[in-house]
Amino acid sequence: MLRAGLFRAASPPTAWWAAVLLFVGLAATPAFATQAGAATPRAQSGGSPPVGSPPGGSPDSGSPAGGSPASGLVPAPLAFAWGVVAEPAEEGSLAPGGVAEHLEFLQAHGWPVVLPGEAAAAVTGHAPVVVLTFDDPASAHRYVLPLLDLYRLPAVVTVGPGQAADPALAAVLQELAASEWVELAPRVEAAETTGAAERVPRCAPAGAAGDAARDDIERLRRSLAGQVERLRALTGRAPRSVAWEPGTWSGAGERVAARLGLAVQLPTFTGTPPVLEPALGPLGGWGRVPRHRLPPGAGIWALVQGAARWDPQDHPVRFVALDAAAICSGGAAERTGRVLAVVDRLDLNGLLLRAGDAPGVAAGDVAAVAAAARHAGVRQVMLEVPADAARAAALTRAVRPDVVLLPAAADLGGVAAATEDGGIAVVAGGEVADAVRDAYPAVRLAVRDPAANGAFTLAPSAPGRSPVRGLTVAAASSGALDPEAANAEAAVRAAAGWHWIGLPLDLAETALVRSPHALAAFALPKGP
Amino acid sequence: MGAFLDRRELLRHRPGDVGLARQAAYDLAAAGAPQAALVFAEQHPETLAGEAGESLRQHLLGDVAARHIRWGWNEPVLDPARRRHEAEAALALLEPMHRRDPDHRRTRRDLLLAYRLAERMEDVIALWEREIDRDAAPYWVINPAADAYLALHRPAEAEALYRTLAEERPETPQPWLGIYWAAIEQRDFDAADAALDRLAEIPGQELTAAIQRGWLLLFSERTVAGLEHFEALFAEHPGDPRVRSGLASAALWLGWPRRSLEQSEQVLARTTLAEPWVDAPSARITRAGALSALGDLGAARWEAEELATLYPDNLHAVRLRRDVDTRLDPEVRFDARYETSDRGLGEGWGHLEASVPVGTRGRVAAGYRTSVSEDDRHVAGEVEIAALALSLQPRRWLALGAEVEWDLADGPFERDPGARARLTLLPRDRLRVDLGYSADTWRELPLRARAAGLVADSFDLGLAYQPDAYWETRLAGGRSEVSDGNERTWGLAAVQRLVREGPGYRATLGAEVYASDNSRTDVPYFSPESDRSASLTHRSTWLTANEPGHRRSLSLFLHAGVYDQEGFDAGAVGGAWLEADWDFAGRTVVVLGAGARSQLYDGQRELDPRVYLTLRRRF
Repeated sequence: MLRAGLFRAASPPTAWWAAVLLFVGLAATPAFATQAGAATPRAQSGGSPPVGSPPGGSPDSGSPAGGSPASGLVPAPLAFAWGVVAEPAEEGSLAPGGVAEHLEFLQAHGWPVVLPGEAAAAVTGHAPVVVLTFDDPASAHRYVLPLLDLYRLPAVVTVGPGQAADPALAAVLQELAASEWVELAPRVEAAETTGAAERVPRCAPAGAAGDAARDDIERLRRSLAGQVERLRALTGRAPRSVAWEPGTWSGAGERVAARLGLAVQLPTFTGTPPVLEPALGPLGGWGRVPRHRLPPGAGIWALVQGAARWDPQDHPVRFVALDAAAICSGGAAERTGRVLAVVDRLDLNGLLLRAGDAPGVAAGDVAAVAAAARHAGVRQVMLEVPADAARAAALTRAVRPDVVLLPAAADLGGVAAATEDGGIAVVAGGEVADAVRDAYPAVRLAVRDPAANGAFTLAPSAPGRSPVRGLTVAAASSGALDPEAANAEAAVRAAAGWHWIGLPLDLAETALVRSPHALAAFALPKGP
Repeated sequence: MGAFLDRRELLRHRPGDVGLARQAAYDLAAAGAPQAALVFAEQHPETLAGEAGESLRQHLLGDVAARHIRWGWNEPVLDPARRRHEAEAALALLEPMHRRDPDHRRTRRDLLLAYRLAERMEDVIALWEREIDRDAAPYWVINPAADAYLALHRPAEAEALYRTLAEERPETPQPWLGIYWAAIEQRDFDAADAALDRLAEIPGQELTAAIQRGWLLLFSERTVAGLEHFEALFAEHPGDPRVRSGLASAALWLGWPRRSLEQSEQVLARTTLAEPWVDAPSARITRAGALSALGDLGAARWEAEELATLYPDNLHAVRLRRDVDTRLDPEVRFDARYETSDRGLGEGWGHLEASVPVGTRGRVAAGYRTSVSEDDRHVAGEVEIAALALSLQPRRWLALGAEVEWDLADGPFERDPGARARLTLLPRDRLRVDLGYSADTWRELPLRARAAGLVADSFDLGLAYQPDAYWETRLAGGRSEVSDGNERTWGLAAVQRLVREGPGYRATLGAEVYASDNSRTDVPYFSPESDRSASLTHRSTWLTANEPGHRRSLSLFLHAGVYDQEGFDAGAVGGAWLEADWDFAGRTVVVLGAGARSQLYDGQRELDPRVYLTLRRRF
């Protein structure tokens, strides 16, 4: 029933002592009264079995210990790439026991292990289809081949240009090729391209970018043809797939490889590998299997995260947005320094480069900022490109972003379409989208949301997943930079499930003069 | 691996050398490839023959089982339904091995680890107490045994084992965290604090220790200090979800559910993902608690149901579901009290009420209320009422209530049904506004007024505001029109400050002023033309038990001040009473209180005793 009213007719004031304490419940509720859901200590401080868990135990409830990954894994083909295997393991290498543990994990959990040419056919939808690749033929021959033989698992040993030309490795390569469990494949290394991203930023119009790209392709064609021929000569068999080191893979490169009979592309990713679409165009039909490079000392987490296309460091994404003026202001050190200061203070993991409206900015300058940010720990780079397809492709080729933010749908003739729930679905097609995907086929597309200023929608990270929403918060309120309003907007959007949230560089700098606390909604945990 | 390769090469030349092959299998297992070693051994079946062969098989299977255990600890799980997969795989190997050879030491120890991984704590303890050589047990066997004791609420035994570990491995965090939890379980907060001091000395554990120190403050009933601690950490580490979780819980424990909800939702936005399914049940539990506190019981129940289904072994998830269900259960309440008022008239009261929920945002109650006067001259004023009430909280910021009461007394008066309505606005965590109106009601009137057949129409307004976690302020006022024409107006202002908090004790000091005015003094009941008072107030609360499912506290209320009635000399007034509260998981609540006050009525001092009992039971 209703709580007794406040009126105690004709009672002297001291009759109020009960009423006062009951009044509105505040005083009557001891502050240490527990509430439903705030019941006890250990659940609140990070999961029920935190006590003395064995080393490596994971008390945080966000990643409960024990069990097998059964849901969340993407069945699309995935390759794992191991480097040098050594015993004892030295810096940068992995012990044979570590490789063995990985292989036993794959077997114990029923992940089909196939060769690249069989990957597409092996997808059943139940478990990730896995291709094993090893980049050091010598150690693969000594330590891995006996294991493959015992586990009866097929694998690809990739051979770089230097390894293919090394006479000391000829016998090793022949013996590897003779194994029923090994297939050899050439590996394209970064030195074979001009590497626009490595150019010194100059903030001037890019003059002969087209010529440089053509030179890169011609150099690639010559080098790859030589590798293919060398492997054919050594092993008597023509390779059928090709591995691409980070920074080397492109649509043009794929076409070169396809003409050489290399039907399956194995591009390498040091972070979360994307799900790759089949190639399009007149030379289409070859497969693409992303290679997840396992760092030295990688445990089974790396396998599971790679297969799930999930890394906690990529979730959520909090980014700083640079417009063209910020990209090209002052000297190279100054502009990267501004970005890095904000990234460091807020531990951001994302960067948005709004190069779309800056025709005078050289692609190399944009790439230099991206490279510096990545070096500082940024994991997700989004590049906003202009509606000019050639310019968009040049920028994409130079930056090799994780996401390309396409211009508004109106400029692209149907790249984006509205969904029933008012969201935006990214639809394949459009000249700009095709151009950027040809420049860097792994890129994930995003489109501007015409209904909300600063908002955008990213294509799903894998088939069957939902699109992801994001935005750059408004920089100004009533004409002035307003960190509090930006922070509040970010908090509301985050709670509503928006995953990518960023703020303009000048706003971040203004707020950080006060305290990182002013932008708490953007701050991420310190990295490992 | 090199040794295996060398021995395998030798084996090509001596293919019949069983010892060599067996040793090669051991080499391969030692290199970290036990499954491959099993395959190798099966390729050389003679290696598995005889006693030595059985020993090899047991060794290799043990390695495979150990690997499953390690995977179980390390692997991220994206499907809670399969959390036990690795533990089950290990147990499937180890239990038959243990049955075959109960004396095999390594199998026993690994089995204990597997039980711990499977959270079969009783089995861990049984194995530890009956079959493990405890004096020779290594740290990795002692640790799960200590965990099991702690999980089974045997903290003293757990602490003893953790202390053993701390001596052996003081540079690792596990024993200090174990001591910390065990000490908290025993409410030995100084020992818990000392363990955190040691934890903070371990490189890389500084922030963890600081966060746990905040939790220690909360666990030791120093909620405000805990909130301040987490706020300070938040200023330094705004991106750390653990800090935000601490803030969320501190806010919830302080009764600030909106702030708690905001922080928990930020934690969830950072730590959960729909695809792949990555979860943070702790933050969801806090969020559900906040929703429950905000009256959003439908959402809280949905969350609690899902959590309890996904994590059936998580005590906190199960407890959350129970707590939310309890709030939605039918309730029976009984109140009885004896009090003296209105110039020395004693009166006993009884009240029985049953209520049932209407959906998740409403409750309907039916009740019966009666009073008995000590003075036969005023029996006509005794109350006998039947009432029907409806309360709703349609929005987080809005609560509504309505009640109709009928006079059942066999007295000389024909009273129309009385009606009440109440509106509560909760726009913010620390602000509350109450508006009440009643028409033709009589039960709050003094006995003498009721005996005269009077009723009243009343309006009241209350405002409560907490500027911060220490201060509480209240303003209230009202006006009544009694059916004899008397118009009464009153006002109250009070402020209260938290002066001492925890462990196990909480104290507040406050002050309040009061004034009233009546248009008539020629009435049979106490009705001063005007009066006013100023008082100091104090409340001490001792928490005498705070265990899952059982909470007990004892409170002392004191007040002392000056009362001034128009036409009479001002004088000192005061009072004291004690109240004991028992709360059994929110399902059964018992409150027992007794006290007395010294008051002035028309210049005459009276001592008014008061005793009350409340029983509340949810079914």
